Order: sequence, then structure tokens, then C-alpha cells
Amino acid sequence: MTGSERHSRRGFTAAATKTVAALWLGVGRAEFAALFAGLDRQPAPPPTILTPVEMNDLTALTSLIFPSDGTPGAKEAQVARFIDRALGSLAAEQLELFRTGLANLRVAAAKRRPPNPAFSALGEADQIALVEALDRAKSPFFEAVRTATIMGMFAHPKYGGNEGKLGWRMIDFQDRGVWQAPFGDYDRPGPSK
Amino acid sequence: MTDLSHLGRPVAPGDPVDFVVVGSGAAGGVMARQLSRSGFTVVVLEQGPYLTEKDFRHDELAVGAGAALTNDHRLQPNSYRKTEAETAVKRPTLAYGRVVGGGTTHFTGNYWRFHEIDFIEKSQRGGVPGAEMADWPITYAELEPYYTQVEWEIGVSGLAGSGPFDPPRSKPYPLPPLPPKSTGVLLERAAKKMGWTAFPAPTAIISAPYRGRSPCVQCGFCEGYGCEVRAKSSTLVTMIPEAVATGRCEIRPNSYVRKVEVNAAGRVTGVGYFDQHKREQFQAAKAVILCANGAETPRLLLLSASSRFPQGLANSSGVVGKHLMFNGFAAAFGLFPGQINGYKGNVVGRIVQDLYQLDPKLGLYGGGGFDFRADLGPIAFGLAGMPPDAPRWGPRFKEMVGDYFTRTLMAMCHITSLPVATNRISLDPGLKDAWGLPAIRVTFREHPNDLKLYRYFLDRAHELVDAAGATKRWEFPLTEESADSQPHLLGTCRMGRDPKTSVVNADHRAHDVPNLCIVDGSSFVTGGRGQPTMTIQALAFRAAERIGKLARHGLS
Repeated sequence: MTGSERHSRRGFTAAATKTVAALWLGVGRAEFAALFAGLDRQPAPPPTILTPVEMNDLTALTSLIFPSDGTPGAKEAQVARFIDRALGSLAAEQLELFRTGLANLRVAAAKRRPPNPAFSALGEADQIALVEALDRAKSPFFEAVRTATIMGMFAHPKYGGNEGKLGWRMIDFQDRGVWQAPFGDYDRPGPSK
Repeated sequence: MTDLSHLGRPVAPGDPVDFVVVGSGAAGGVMARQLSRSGFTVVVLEQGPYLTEKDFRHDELAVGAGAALTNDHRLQPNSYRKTEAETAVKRPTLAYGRVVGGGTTHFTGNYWRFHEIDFIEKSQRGGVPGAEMADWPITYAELEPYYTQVEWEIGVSGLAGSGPFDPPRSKPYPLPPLPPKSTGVLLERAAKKMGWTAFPAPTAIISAPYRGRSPCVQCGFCEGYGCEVRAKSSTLVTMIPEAVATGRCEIRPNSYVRKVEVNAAGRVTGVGYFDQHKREQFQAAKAVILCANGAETPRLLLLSASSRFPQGLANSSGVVGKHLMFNGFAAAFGLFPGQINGYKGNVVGRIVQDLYQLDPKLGLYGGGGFDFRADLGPIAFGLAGMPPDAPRWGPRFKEMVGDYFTRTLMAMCHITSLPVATNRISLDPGLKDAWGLPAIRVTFREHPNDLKLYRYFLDRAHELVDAAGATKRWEFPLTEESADSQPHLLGTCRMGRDPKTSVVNADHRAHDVPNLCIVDGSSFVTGGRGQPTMTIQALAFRAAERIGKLARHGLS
């Protein structure tokens, strides 16, 4: 069962994040800060922990959650890169869950279209069918992928995802230090809407 | 060499001070400042680090998943069970500030005063089966000067006389209200249609320059975050530096208190704690004041059991840890045609309190208030902000998240929660924290009356969202189980006149131990209608005055 189904009824940003992100409570805060210090100023390194095959399959999975359907999705936002870094650091406890899940997915892909070598090599309809089955079965692996994908889409770009702030642009969120009225359409001066 | 002047004049751990204050949050900060200004020497022990505005970031991942400002469940796990018949399982049930400033560092700053009824509801309305309602040993009138003191000493923005149900006040707010934003304008519109009044939310964020601090710049990162411009009136930027400036107060961060020590006479002698290197230390003191929050304070008393106090320190009544209240909560979401952009600017602009006291004919006990806000950051919104009919992934999910984020708000209900003896903090028999101390075990199940009350408020919240012009609405489900990450921790060392049924007296002194005082959310007898921090601080200003007077003659 995920936290979002069970709880998170208090609209407390940190609480909601923490609740549904309980699986990601991977490291203490000092390590957390240190791991990512300066990452935003460095060129993207190769995958830190996943293999190229795993990265391709993970990219395909995240693309099913936020597809690149005319506008940028998880692939362009480099969500798989965020997850790869996280699995090597702040979410190290999740590595086995991801590894095993990705391996099982490879086996399922091969069964579905023998001798298909990878989930990412399947056509979209087959990929969707496999993920629908995982979702129906409330697979902890898919829950973790979904949570991590949303985090990678919307976390600060310094963590490796949300490349070019694509996730924030998708929802029209702007991270600025200062705002002033009108904040939205309803507090503009003039006739009420 | 690193400048450590912000920590104050160091006291050698072996040297006795007048007061050790455990915790540097809403209450601890006030106690430290008031007592040191009164001429006493004070050491404040804080579990977390001393962070400042230079350390704070707009970083949802670090604050949420990384627990940058709050208790880290990886180091300090909780366990949870609904009833005493169950075995508790590990779950991140509680969320509290774990930095200098405590919860005030990351709070939203909703600074509602309690109303008269909150102190006398038992005698006015009678009790409720299954709840230990009781009148407070103090009244609103006695606390009023201290509410005013809070507003002027820390800086609270608001508009006196704007709330039709406001309790009497002796002075206006020192600062004008923060802007209503779109959420506030919509709440005004909805309230008018319902025959209610939306008025400026009293908020512990300064709207104009105040005592050397510059006002809020409306960055929007209040709830859950540290303020980067020192406009939020946390104890971190108000009470703590003023305590240090007396030259009589030392702030000792990264100090995790594990036991309050007592002598053969049953008097407190100081506290044992782990320093940042997990080395055991002892700080001697003439008196100890616990301001560690409604979960850590009872835990510390239970951890301090001894042959003289076998049930835990100050617990001859057996009520330490009991009557845990989280404040009742419910929320309805609404989707609007225009942009709300709740993420920009102060979180809450307007509130409604027309249902603070419900008509007894409804058969419900208590009451509450409402605000409109959109406080889920991008990650939280993607994870928990979407309606139940939204797909969980795929093109439509992507489209909906993109479409809904700036156009959704929540009608939040802040409601009575009853004090129930079986809802409590205790020590988990198996689970340990990273220091080897027993973890907090939470036993909590909503009282059936409260669940009915929450449903009533949630129905009204839906009506408000409709009246505001929403095109779609949905809600967080209500459950009798506790939510995770509960931030309001109240009632676990309740105040009262009778040592058999309460832990501290009206001066916040433990009935059982004359030189031990407890001042925080645990002192609450009942929970009010939510938004407890203002009352915690008013109690602290009052307690500091009374404890200071008593201490001149020696608390023992």
C-alpha cells in the first residue's frame, strides 16, 4: 500500500512529500546535502550505478509515466539520470528493488516477444500492457518507479532530473525569490472573474 | 576560526546553571530569552543543528525526503498502532522541527489565538463519553496579556477587529495583514455566499520592517521551509538571538538529551545528553525546563524512570504521554477555471471562523475554522494532489498534473480533537533510535465524535469550494487511523490542579518534582481548534514570568 492511499491528509508540504516518499528516506541530511553539492555545475557523468541496459529500460518506464507526446516528458527531463544517482546515494536502500524489478521486467519482455532482449526494445503497446499488469498487481517496484519518476520530474535540477526545468515548465511552476500581487487571476484588480 | 558568537557565552558542562532548557522551539526560545533577560543563567540543549537563512533553500526534495529541518526517521524511527491490543509497526508518524528554532523554523505561521471557550469547554458544554475533557486551570482572560506579548515581541501580522468571533484583545496587531492572494479572494467570495466572514489570517510573518528585520518578499516557501530573508518570526530569528545577547544564555545545538537526572531528595540535578559526537555529557542545573514538544517531552520523562520514579519522572498520575491530540484536520480540493498560483507568496491570506462554536443542536462537540491554500509543492502535488479519477501514469496523468497544479486549492479545516486517554506516546519495547534509546511508540485512533465532526467540516469545505466557483472538487479521505508526519503534538503532559489527573500545575511546574517545569504543546488540556503555536508561546511567556518569580526564592 502506498502512503498516498493511506494518509497524507494533512496538507503539509513536507509531510505529504515525506509520507509518500517514505521509501526514499535513504540517508541522513548531512550526507544528503553533501552528495549533491555542486552537481548542478558539473557535466553529466555516465550512469553511476545502473548498467546501460538497465538505464534504457528505466528510461522507457519513466517515459510511460510522463510520455514525450508532443511535449517533453521524463526522457527529456533526464528522470532516469536522477534515479540512477539516487540509487547510488540517497535511495541506496532501493537499489535491490529496482535491480530485481528491472530484471523481472526483462524476463517478462522476453516472454512476451521472444527473444526480445530488453523492455525498452518492446513496442509501446507491449510496454503499456506489462506496466498495466504491474500497476494492477500493486507492484512495490512500480510504485517505487512512479514515486521516483515524479520526484525526478519535479525536484530541483541540481539532483540530475528536471533537466532544463522541463518538469517545472510542464506544470507552470517558477522558482523565484520574490513575487508580488497579483499572484493569480482572482486577486487582480478590476471586475471579479 | 569559526565565529561561534551566535551560540552565546559557553558554559562548561559541569558548571551548574540556573536553568537548562531542553528544546529551542516555540516555547524553548521564549523561556531562554525571558529567563536570561531576568538575570538567570540558561543553557539551551537542542537536538538539531544551528542553521541560518544562509543554509535554507527552495529545495522540496531536501526538506521533504531529506528531512533537512525535521526529525529524520532513519535515525529516530517511530512505531504506530491504532489500539493497545495491536503490536506497533515502524511508521513515520510524527514530524517536528529538529533545528534551532524547532518547529517555528519551518512552520506556516498561522497565529490564531484560542477563544474563551477553548479553556472552559468542559464546564460550558459538558463532557463526551470516551474523552477526558477538562477545563484548563487558566482562562483566556488570564492568558490575553501574553497573547499580546507574543504578537508584539515576535512580530505578528493581522487586523484587529476583523474577525467577528475574535476574543477580546488589549492591543491591535503590530503589523498590517499579509496580502489575501487569489486563495483569500476566493475564500472571501465563498464565505459571503455562505453568510460567513473571511478575514485576514493572523500570521507570524512580518508584513513590514520590524525590529531590524525586513518584511516578507512573498517567495512562497514558508510551509515546511526555513525563511531565507528572516521575515518569518521564528524563535531562530527573534527569541534565540535576544537570549544570547544577554550574555547569560548558551545555545548548545546537536545535543540530544537522554535523561533528566534526580537526586535522593527527588530534585532534578541536570540532564544527561549525547553531544554531536555521541559522547555522553551532563549539564548540571538548579532547575530543568522541558520544551521538547508533545512527543519528545513525555518520552524523555518516561526515559527518566528511576527507582524513585518507577513509572517515569513526574508521572505519579500515570498520565504522562496520554491524551495525545494532533488537532482535527480535513481538506477538500477544488479546481478553478483561472490561475490560483497558491505556491506564490504567503501560504494563508484569509480565514473563516463562523463555525468555531457549533450549534449544540447539531449533536457535535467542538468546532473549527477554515482557510484556502495551495501548499503542495510540485513533488507533493504530483504524488498526492491529484483527484481520485486521475490516472496514475501516462498521457492523461501528465496532462492533468500540468493542467491542475496552478488551478487547484484546498479548503483546509482546522478542527477540535478530543483528549482520549488511550491515544498516547509510550516507549516502544523493541525499536531503538540511532543512539540506542527506545523509540517513540504512538497509539492513536480518532474518537468517533471527532470523525463525525471532521465529516461535518469536510462537507462544509466542499460547499465553500463550490461557492467559490470550483469546476471540480475532491477530498482527502478521512480515516480513524493517524496520518503520517503529524506536526501538531499536544496534550501529553496536561496541566491541571489535581496531581492525580495532571502532570504540571498552572505554573507549569511538575506536581511531583518542584524544580522541573514543562512548557510546550504537552501542557495543553484540550487542543483548541488547531493552530497551537500561538498558544504555546503565550503559555511560555506566562510561564517564564511565574517561574522566574518563583526561582528568586529557589524552586526547590
